[in-house]
Amino acid sequence: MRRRVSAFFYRRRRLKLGLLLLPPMGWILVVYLAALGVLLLTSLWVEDELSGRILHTFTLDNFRQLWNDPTNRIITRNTVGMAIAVTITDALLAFPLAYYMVRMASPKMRAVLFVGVLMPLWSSYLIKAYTWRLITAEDGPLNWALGKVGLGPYHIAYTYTAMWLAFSYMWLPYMILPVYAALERVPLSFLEASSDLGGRAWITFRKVIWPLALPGIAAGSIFTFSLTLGDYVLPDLVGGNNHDFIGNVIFRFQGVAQNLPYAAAFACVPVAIVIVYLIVMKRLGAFEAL
Amino acid sequence: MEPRAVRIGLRAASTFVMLFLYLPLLVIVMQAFSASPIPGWPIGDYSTRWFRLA
Repeated sequence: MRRRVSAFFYRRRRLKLGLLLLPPMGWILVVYLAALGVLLLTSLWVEDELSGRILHTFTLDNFRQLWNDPTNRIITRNTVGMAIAVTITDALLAFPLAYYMVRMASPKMRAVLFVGVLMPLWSSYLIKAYTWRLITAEDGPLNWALGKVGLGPYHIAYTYTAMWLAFSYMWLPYMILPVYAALERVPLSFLEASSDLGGRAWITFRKVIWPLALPGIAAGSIFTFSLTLGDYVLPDLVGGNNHDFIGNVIFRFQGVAQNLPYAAAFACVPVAIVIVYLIVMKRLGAFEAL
Repeated sequence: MEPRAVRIGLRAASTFVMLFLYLPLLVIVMQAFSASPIPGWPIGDYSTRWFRLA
């Protein structure tokens, strides 16, 4: 029986491939694409202002309302600005460590650092968010340390600075790993050739290492950018009530105001931003470095 | 081979990044041993009461 089944699929390779791909493709279609389709569909419905019932009529009113409210534009600008700042910070922090791991660390040290980078991911996201609330508090360790060296205290609690620090911390491992993978693929012979041709360290970095590491940075930035863009827990815990991000507003509209169509319309904004971002990153070769 | 200054700089930057990754975890571990129910820094008294309660 087993032989007959094996022979049947051996003769029908396309069918075998189709059956193999069916579960993952079905999962992607149902869980991801269908969910996105429902989101888009919901964004076209409206909520009846009097009864609060959702009217299943298709209209662009939610998008019109979103566009016309200047507060939403400010919130979107702040969220995208934070995502960009976090991405740049993580790239600046990740690059030297990844380079050290690839080129300078011994194999044993490399393994230690690799596990060291991954270990913070094992601890709870909420605990880390609360830790940053504690660190950036008025009487927290950061202000205490700044005071000790005569630089503080500063008002960091519930500010954009606090959120920037916390976000950069949260997503840093997601940047380090792709940058490490990209740098590991740079052949040593390229660096030697640059050196043999008289290229100094800076020139070698600019002309050889940077272009080859860029896809890795772009791949890491997909994580840091999109994760910051969609987060709603950290802005609430570390940013307090005065700093609205797209995620908070969506949460408030669907959780508190119960206006699901409007929340869905606002949720389409980060989806559109991420699609544009992915197109740009694909051109930079990010997908080859993932 | 990188120049000496670059190697020192990379080592220092790597140490900074690892400290950035681990100091917050150290803070929360230390906070778990704080006797006070109100979070604050520096920690005055240490205790294992939260572990007993948990």
